[in-house]
Amino acid sequence: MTQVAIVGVGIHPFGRFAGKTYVDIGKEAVYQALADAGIPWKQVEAAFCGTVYTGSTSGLRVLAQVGLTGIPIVDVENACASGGSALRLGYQAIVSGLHDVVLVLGFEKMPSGFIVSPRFEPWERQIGFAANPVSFGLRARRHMHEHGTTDLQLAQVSVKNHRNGVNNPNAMYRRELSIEEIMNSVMVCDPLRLLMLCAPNEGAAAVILTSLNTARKLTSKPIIVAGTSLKSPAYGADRIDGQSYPVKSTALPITTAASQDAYRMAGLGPQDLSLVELQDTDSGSEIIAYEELGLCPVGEGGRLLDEGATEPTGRIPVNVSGGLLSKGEPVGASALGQVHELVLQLRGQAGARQVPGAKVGLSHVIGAGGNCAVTLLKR
Amino acid sequence: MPQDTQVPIREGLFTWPASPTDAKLLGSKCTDCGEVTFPQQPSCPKCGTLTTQPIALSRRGRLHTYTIIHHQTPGYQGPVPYTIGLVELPEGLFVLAPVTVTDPQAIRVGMDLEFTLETQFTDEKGAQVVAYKFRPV
Repeated sequence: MTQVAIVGVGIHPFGRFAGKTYVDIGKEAVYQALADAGIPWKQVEAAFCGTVYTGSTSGLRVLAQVGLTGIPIVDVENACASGGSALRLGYQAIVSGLHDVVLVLGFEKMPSGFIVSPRFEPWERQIGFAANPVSFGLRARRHMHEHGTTDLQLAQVSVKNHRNGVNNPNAMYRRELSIEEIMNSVMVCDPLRLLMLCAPNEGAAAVILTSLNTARKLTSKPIIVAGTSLKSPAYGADRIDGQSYPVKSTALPITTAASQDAYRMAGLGPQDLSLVELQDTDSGSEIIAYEELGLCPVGEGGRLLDEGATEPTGRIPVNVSGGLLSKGEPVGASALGQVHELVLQLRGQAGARQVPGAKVGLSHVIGAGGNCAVTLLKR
Repeated sequence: MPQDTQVPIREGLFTWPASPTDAKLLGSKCTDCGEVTFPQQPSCPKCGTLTTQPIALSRRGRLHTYTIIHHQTPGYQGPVPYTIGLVELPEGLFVLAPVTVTDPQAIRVGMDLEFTLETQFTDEKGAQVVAYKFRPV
């Protein structure tokens, strides 16, 4: 099978940009990725654009500014997994032989506060189901009950990721937070407090994919897409979407299913990872994802954190970029923001955030309904 | 419309008309694999069979997990804080449902719960909109 590589990445910082449209934000990431790849726009043969809140054919609106070359441009809406899904489609386009050079773009401009989503029926809103942190709170509480995870550990995730975010010029929040500050922030969905939750915001990231053969002509440091997986929940999987799910089920948690798929494809396992960028929409989700990605046994996520294993200097650094907790989450762009970070890390270009000798990185996003994308990159 | 008029928050979620002490949630049972789901749906999400039968679910359940919500969520009509839980029912399913307890000291995973109905809000026509909840036994 054709191998696929990343030859260019670009990013527009994640944050709030009152004077800019999503077109302004998106095209900056594209120009940067093209410059990084050292190729002209006319060499790109297809574009897949992750975005959720910008409206119909917004990818075309962004790329019309870069140049109308007549290539296929497809918007990909898959909630928080949109960017990861777009990357998967770009990968497939190259593996199939249909295209050799593909742009994968994610961009977003979202209002602040709870996400208002038309996917809920009126009665579901009226009764109080219609906020993402409700399901995060339910999962965190259950993890505390089953495995003894503590409020302090939830706070500690946020301390770690905000400390990491200080070193990331593309992050929205670049300030260290103390345990006290987090524990004193307002309760949102008990046990999750405000400073344990990420903020929806604005931003963009772009990736240029090519076949490995073409990549070798363009750069001496191609980053190889070693594994990719995209999953929706099998019946009975852990995510709560709708009003019921079975007590007894053999379905794997979605993150577990997706990561096992990607590991298998890459011929790699959790022990091979140099670093991980995972979906920390809230601090409970980070601890649970440690386990579901196989970084530690089920139930030991809190301990892995306590041991410092997921710190930048630990055995398996997680969210050295600052994660969504400090970057914020522009949902269409978040996965490609992770990929941008991993590519810099694998090239040894991550500056103050550099994980020494990074060889293999994992990107993980999961969103509404349980859509989950996992991407494994190696140098 | 008389002031005491009551309407369910959505038709088909629970038996109606009913009182808080005899109402039951209405789910679906697959005519092929027997999987029980809530709310009622015309096909089975487990096996894809196109026929299901309505089933009245048990009034007693156990709290699997919960979250106490301290903010107004989008479109929510009711007092804050409020609690949402996953309640395990004997039919072998967890249902997402409001729980009447909002005191963190008075709620715990594993507690026994009982089905009830409560007025969620009063609509623009003055009718009381009734929703399902679980309360401690």
